[in-house]
Amino acid sequence: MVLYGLAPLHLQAAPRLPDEATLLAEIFPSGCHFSGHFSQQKNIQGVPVPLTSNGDFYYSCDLGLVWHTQMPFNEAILYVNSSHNFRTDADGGLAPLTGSTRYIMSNIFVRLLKGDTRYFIDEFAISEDSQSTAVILRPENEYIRKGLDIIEVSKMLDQAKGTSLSIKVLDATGQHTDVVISDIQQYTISGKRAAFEQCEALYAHTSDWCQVLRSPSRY
Amino acid sequence: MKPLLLPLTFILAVIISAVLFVLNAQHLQIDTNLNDLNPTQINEPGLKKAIDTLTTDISQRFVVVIKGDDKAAIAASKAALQEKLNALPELNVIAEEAVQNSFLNIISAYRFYLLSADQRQSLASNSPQQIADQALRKLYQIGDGVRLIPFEQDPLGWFSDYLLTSLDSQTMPFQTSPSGTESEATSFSVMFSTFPKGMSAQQTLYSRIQAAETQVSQQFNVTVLRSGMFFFAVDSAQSAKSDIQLIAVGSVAGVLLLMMLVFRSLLPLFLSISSIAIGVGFGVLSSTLVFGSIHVLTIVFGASLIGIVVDYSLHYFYHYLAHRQASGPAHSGVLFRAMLLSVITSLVGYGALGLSDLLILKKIALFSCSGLAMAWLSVMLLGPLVVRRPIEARQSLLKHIIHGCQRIFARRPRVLVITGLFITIGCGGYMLVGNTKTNDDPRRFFHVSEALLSQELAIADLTQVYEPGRYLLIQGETPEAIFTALNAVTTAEGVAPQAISSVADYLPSPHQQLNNYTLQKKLYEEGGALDRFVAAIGLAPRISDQVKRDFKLAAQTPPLHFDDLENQLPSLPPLWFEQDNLIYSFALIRKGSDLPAIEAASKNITSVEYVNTLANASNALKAQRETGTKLLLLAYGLIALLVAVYYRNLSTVVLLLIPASASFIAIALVSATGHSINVFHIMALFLVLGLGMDYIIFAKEMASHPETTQQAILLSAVTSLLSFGLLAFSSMPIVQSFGSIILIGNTINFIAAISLFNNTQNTHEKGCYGG
Repeated sequence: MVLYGLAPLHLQAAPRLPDEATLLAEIFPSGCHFSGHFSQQKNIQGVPVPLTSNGDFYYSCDLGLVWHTQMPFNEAILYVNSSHNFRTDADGGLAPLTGSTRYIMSNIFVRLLKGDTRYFIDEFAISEDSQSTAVILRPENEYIRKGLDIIEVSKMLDQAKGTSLSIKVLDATGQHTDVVISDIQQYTISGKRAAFEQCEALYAHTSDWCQVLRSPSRY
Repeated sequence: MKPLLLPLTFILAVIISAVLFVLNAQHLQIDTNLNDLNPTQINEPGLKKAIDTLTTDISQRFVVVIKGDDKAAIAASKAALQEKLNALPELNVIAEEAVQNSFLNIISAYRFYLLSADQRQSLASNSPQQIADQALRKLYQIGDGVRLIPFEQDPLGWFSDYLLTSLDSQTMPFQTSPSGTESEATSFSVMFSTFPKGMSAQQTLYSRIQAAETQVSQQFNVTVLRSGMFFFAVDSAQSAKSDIQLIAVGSVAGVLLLMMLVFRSLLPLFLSISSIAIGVGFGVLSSTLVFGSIHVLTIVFGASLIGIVVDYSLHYFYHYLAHRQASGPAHSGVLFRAMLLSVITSLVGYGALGLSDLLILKKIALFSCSGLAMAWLSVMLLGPLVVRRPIEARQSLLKHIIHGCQRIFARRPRVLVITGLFITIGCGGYMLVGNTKTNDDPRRFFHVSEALLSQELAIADLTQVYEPGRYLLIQGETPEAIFTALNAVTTAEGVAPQAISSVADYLPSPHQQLNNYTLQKKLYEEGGALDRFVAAIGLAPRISDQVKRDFKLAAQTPPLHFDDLENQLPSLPPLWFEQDNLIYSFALIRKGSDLPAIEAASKNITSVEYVNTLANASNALKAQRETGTKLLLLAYGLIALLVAVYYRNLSTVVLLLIPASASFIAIALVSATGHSINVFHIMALFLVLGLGMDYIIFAKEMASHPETTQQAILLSAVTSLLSFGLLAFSSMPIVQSFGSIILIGNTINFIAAISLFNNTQNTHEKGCYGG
C-alpha cells in the first residue's frame, strides 16, 4: 500500500471517465418508436408563479414527433424535420413553427429523442454532474451560449412507473424549464406506414396530425 | 578642364544621390502585393476605393483551423494559440464571443426596429389579443426556452425570436465553426492590427506565427492549419528573394569574370560595375518616387537588367578598340549615334511593357527604362575618362568561340538565312494550326509551396462558406436602393434566399426598420398585446411600463445603418462603402448555390453586377495578351521605320526578320515543350526585338571591323543570356516564361548577328568608320 502511494500519479488506477458517446447512450431512448406523457414547469424571472403544463407525445424516427399539450392549452407541435414543422391548435389551425420554438425543436429536442450522438458531440460539451446522476450538455457555439446555458438530462428507472426522462433547461437569463417525460411506451414497429398507423391509434380524434407527419409537403 | 565638367558634375550628382539613398534606405519599401498582377481596370474612383477597401480587408485577415481527435486538447490549444498570437504586436485575434456580445448589445438597442418576415406577417394578420394569447402559449411551450435578453426587456419574446430565426436560417455572421468533419476541429480569425511593411518585417512575423503554431501543435498534439493572403505573399516574396539572389549574384559574377578575363584591367571593370550600380540604383529610386515602393517582381526582372546595362560599356570599349587611332568629332558623332540607336531600341523594347494594363509590367518598364537610360548616360559621360589610359582586350579565346560558331552557322550565310526562314515558316505553321496553347489563368503565374496549397485546400473544405472569388456588387444612391436590389436578387427565380449573404443578414433596410417600428405599435401601445399579455399572466405593471417607455424612446433614435454597425464593430467585413453620394455594397454567394441563376438574376437588375474575379482577371489577361501581340506588331512597324529612316534604305527593314524569326521559334519551342503561352511570353518578345536590333545595329555599324564587332556581340550576348537564362530557371512561372523566351530568342539573335554581318559589303556609308 505504501509502495502504491509512491507510484507516479499517472500510473495509479484512477477511475476512468466515461466518454461523451457513453454518456449520451445513457440518456438516449433505447427505441425508435415510443409514446408517453410529459409535464413541464417553467420559472421565469419576473413572472410571479411557475408556469406548468402537461400533455402527451408520440415519436417515431420514421414519421416525426407529435408534442401535444393538453393543459393549460390544447395544442400540438408536429415536427417532421427541420424544414417541416407546425403548430396546430384546438380549432385545427395549422401554422409553421417559427423563432425559438422551431430552433429548439430542430436543433435540440428532436435530436435528443432521435439519439443523434454526432450532433451532440459536435455542438455540446458533454459531462456528468457531480453525483453522476445526470448528463450535462453545454453548447459550444458562443452565440447559442448567449441564450442557452446548460441542458441537464437524467434517466430514472422506477419499478412501478418504468423509465422516465428529466430534461432541465437553464437559459442564460436564468430561466428554468423542467420537462419530465414519463409513462414511456415502446413500440416494435417497422416502416413509415406502421408508424403512421400507430400515430392514428394514439390520436384517433386528431388523425389529421398524423397525416401532416406522413405528407408534410401537402401542408 | 571643360570636357571634364560634365562627367565630374555627373559623378558629384551620383555621389550625392547615393548618399541620400543610403541615408533614406530605411524608407525603401519592398512591395509584395500580388494584386499588381491583376489587370482589371476600374475607372470609377468610388468603386475602386470600395474594392480596394475590401481587398485590403481580406489581405489583412487570416483564418486558423485546429484539428485533432480530442476536443479538450483542441479547446486548450485554441486558447494557447490565441494567447500567443495576441502577444504579437502586429496581430489581433478576433474574439468571437466579444464580437457577438457587441453585436447583440448594439442591435438590442434597436430591437423595436427589427422583425422577421413571419413576425411582420403575424402583426399584419393578428389582433393584439391574438398576439397576446400566442405569446402566453409560447411561454408554456418547450421551444420558448431561449431568451437572448432578459424577460423584462422582451416579455413577448419577439426580439429573441427574431435573432433565433436569423440563426436558424444560417444567415447570421458568426457561424464560422467547421462542421461535417470526421475529426474535431475549431477555427478562429486573426486580423492585423499593424500590417508589417517590407519583406523583412513580414518574414519575421511569418516565422513567429510558424513558431507559435509549431509549439502549440506539439504541446497539444493537434494539427494547426492557416489560410490567408499574407502567407502567399510572404511565400512568393521568399521565392522572389531566392531568384533575386540567383540572378543578381550570377549576373554580377558572370560580368566580373568576363570583364576581368577579357580586359584584365580594373578601369573597364570599374565603368561596367559603376554603370550597373547607377542604372539599378536609379531604377530603384525612380520606382520608389513614382510608386512609393519597389515591387519584389520588379527587382526579379530588374536583376536581369545587369546583363543589358553592361552592354553599353562593352559597346563603348569595342568602339574605342576599333577606332583607337581615330579621333575627333566625326568619330565621336558616329559613336554617339550608334550608342543612341542601341539604347533607343532597348528602351522601345522595355518601354513597350509600360503599354500593358498590368501594373507590374508598368513598374518593370519604369524601373528598366530609367535604369537603362541612366546606365547609358553614365557610360557616355564616364567612358572618355576610362579610355584615357589605353585598354587592351584579350581576344584569342573570344575569337576561338566565334570561329567555332561561325564554322557551324556562317559558312553559308545564304543557307543559314533560308534555313532560318524555313524554320520560322514551320514554327508559324505550327502555331497557326492551333498547336500553341494559351492559358491566362492568373493562378498559374505563381509558384506556391505545396504545403501552403494543401493547407489552403484543407481550410477551404473545413471553413469556406462562400464561393471563392465570386460576389455581387450592388450600387445605389440610397440605402433603400441597395436593399431593394438585394431583395430583387434573393427573390429572383431559381435563387434560394439563403444563397446570398449580404448586409441584409445583419439588418433590415432603414425604411423597413421604420415600418417594423410602426408595426410593433400593435405590441407596445396602450392597450396593445403587451398590456393584454401582462394582465393575463399577472406580471407587475412596472415591467410593461418600462418596455412601453423604451419603445417610445426608441422612436427618437434613427434606424441603424450598416456603416454605423461597421464603425462600432470593425471586425465586420467591409460590405458597405459610401463615396460621393453613391453606395457600393458587396454580397457574398454561399457555396453550392445555383451560380448561373444568380448570374442571370443579376443581369436583369441594373444596379447589381455579378463579379467573378478569376474569370474577369483571366479575361483581362487574355485581352492583355492579344493587345500585347498587336502592340508588338506596332513596335516592329516603328522600329522598321526608324531603321529605314536612319539608314535611308528601305531594304534594311528586312533586318527585322531576325528578331521576328527568333520570336516565332522561341514561342513555338516553348509551346512544344508543353508550356501554355501567356501575356508574359508576349511581353518578353518586345525584349527579343529590342535586344535583337541592338546586336544587329552594332554589327552593322561596325561591319568594317567584323572581328572586334563579333567579340563585342559575343560578350554582350553572353551577359544578356546569363541574366535572362537565370530568369528561365526561376521558381516563379511568370519569371520563367519571360526568361525562357528571351533565352531562346536572344540566342537566335546572337547567332544571326555574328553569322550574317561578316563582310564589308554590309557596311553602309553612314555607319562606316573609315577603317
